[in-house]
Amino acid sequence: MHTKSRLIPILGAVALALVAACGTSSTGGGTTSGGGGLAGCTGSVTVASDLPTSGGDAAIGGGTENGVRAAVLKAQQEKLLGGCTINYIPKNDASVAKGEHDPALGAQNMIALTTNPAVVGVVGPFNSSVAIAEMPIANRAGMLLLSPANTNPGLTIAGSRPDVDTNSLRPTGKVTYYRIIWNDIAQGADDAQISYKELNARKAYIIDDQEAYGKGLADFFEKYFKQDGGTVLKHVALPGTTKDFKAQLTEAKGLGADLLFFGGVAANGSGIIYCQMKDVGLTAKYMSGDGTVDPQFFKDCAGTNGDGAYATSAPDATKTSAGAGFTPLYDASFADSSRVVYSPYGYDAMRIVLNAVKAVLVDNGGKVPTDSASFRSKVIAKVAATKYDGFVGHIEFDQNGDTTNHAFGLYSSKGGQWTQSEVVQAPPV
Amino acid sequence: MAQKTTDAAAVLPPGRQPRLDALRLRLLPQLTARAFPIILVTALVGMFLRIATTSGGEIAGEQLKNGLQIGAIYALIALGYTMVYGIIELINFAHGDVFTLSAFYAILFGQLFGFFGLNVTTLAPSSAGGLIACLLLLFPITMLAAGITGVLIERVAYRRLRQSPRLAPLITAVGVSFLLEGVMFAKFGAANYPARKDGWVHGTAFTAGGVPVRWNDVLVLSTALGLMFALQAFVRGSRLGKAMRATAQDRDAALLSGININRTIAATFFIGSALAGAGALVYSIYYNSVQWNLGFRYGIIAFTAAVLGGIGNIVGAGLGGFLIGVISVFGSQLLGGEWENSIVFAMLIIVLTFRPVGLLGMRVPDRA
Repeated sequence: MHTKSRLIPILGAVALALVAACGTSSTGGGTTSGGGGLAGCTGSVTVASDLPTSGGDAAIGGGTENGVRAAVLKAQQEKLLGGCTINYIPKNDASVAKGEHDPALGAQNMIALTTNPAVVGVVGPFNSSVAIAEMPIANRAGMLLLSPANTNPGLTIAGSRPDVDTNSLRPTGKVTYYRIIWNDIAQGADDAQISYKELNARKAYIIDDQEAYGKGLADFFEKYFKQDGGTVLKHVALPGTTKDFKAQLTEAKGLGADLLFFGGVAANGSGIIYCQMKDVGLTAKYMSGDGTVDPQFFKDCAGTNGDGAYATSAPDATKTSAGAGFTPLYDASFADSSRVVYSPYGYDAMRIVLNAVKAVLVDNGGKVPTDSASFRSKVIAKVAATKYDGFVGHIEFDQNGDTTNHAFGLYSSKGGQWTQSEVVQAPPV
Repeated sequence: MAQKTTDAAAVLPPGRQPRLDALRLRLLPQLTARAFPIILVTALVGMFLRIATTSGGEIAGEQLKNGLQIGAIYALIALGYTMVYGIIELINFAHGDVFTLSAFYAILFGQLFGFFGLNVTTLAPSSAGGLIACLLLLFPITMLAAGITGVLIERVAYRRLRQSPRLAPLITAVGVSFLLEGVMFAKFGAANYPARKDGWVHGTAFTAGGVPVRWNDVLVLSTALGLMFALQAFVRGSRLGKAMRATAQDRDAALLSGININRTIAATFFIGSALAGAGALVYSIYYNSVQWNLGFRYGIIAFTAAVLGGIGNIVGAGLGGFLIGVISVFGSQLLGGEWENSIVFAMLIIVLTFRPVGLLGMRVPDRA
């Protein structure tokens, strides 16, 4: 159902009240204030994160890690675990060799974290390719992995992606991986719904960039756009090196397309396609996914020619009432310029981990469990039962580990920038 | 033309042969070779009519224009391939990357002019005159820089290998190609590099039979046609052109009659690369951005165009470029864009199999 963001103000008010009340949450096992029942707790608990914080990912990964740190600092200040201290180990999965996120380094980090018996839960990773390397390791060790940013549906839903063997990512058969961001099935459904209902598109021409992300998103868009009642005129897959889309766009014009959907990343043609639509006189609306919400779009389609395109991405939580309190909290510890759209996701992910840890300590009579394996599995059980109102909205997890919150930001291009025009709740899929 | 035009039948083994073999070996290839242009033209007309009946005449016309426009860029690159092959029988694999590098030259020179207030970026939206003035400056210096690049490559990587087995310069050509790509990747990064901001060049110049023709289409097509005719006149009429034809025909004889072979071959590389430079300039204006690995695909498609027209044949390269452009655009509408590369390279195989001399006949050195 298309509820836009009517729930968000209410959720926001609730979240603010909860944050103001020093982190009380419904996963807190009925306790009412920070450290409640844990005053006599002694010892320490160690949590970790694995994010790409150097090289090409430094800005986005570093800003996300700051969000995680903010959650740790906040919990330490308000003595969330009473007398027990919180240790935090940040890991970086961006390697010097690759200059960006590196699945091999991620796996190495995960081995280090899982073999450290003190670590009870990990926030991360950022990239789906790193998740594929880390998930089996964390799963065998019974370690919680909670991602703030992975969107590949194959990580959680078996059979959803031909190129990802979901079951091999969970060798024990148990779900130990969770994420607080939607997956690309939800994004495809959301893009279809916006296109059909808000942009009033009925006849779509789809282009994808032949890559795992782009093709996946385009396929899901096609499926849900048809379900919504729209017609898909044609779906073509062109390699990322394609620079001339005029043959396809002219064909789309001839077929009377009123929407052009691009599944792919900006480097593979988001902006080029949009500018060439004007060259061939195709007046259809343009819709795409989070790969297009990238400054590169305006390098390929500059000036006023770049205005008027639409794309969905992670909502800018700080522009919602639920997330309004995040900016001051973040700015108290970090430079505002380092804040990214994933910073509140980093915060909420770590807060969910810490809330679960707290609930386990309370259940354990205010003591830190001595057996590492059972501590870890209890944390996972508490995370699975999460009912949390955070800066990014209300979060619960389904049986696969996916969030039930499908809030998207709808972005439009104007003046060389992507601006969020509204937050849209995607239909359940 | 003093050059020898090879025909498919001429390469057949001489001597008596059984009649059936004669029929199979001589007549059939001759027939298919003769019929090839007719089949090609028929196929193109058929594709055009098919698009016209399914999508309407105006869409078919627009696709034809799209094909000719992209074909014009292929043609400008193909000229360099065909000239170099014609004179030293080298497939200059670095040529596509010279094209890409020249597009970066064009962008950088355009930015440089910004210091003097003559910038494609600032002038293009404001006035036609401004852009034309800017282009008049950009064309010569981009072509000059591209030409010098070509000459340097020839001097460094090919000249010493001129007497070596043919595989050696081919391998250095591939090496130069990767070298140039590596340099561009390191210097300009992996992402698309922006060329210029929006401008009136995207506006409609005139409408022909319901097909809107934009200023950038006019720019690309007139550049390609103008330079092709200029080149043809140059090679036919000028002293250097005659020297080039003589060197192509028989290098030793040309040397004996007092032609400076090194200078002539260097001039060939200069002109071929300069034409790619002109193509790169109009490309950067048309497509707004350039990427380091662009040259690989454009180069190999342009090579196909040169083979289709008849390698070594200047008019053939131009014709081949336009034909490949139209075939790829028509093919991608009829079969889907996924098939574009397959169609183009199937064309390469068909030409080499059924009409190896190309449409207009190849012109290569006599040494066999």
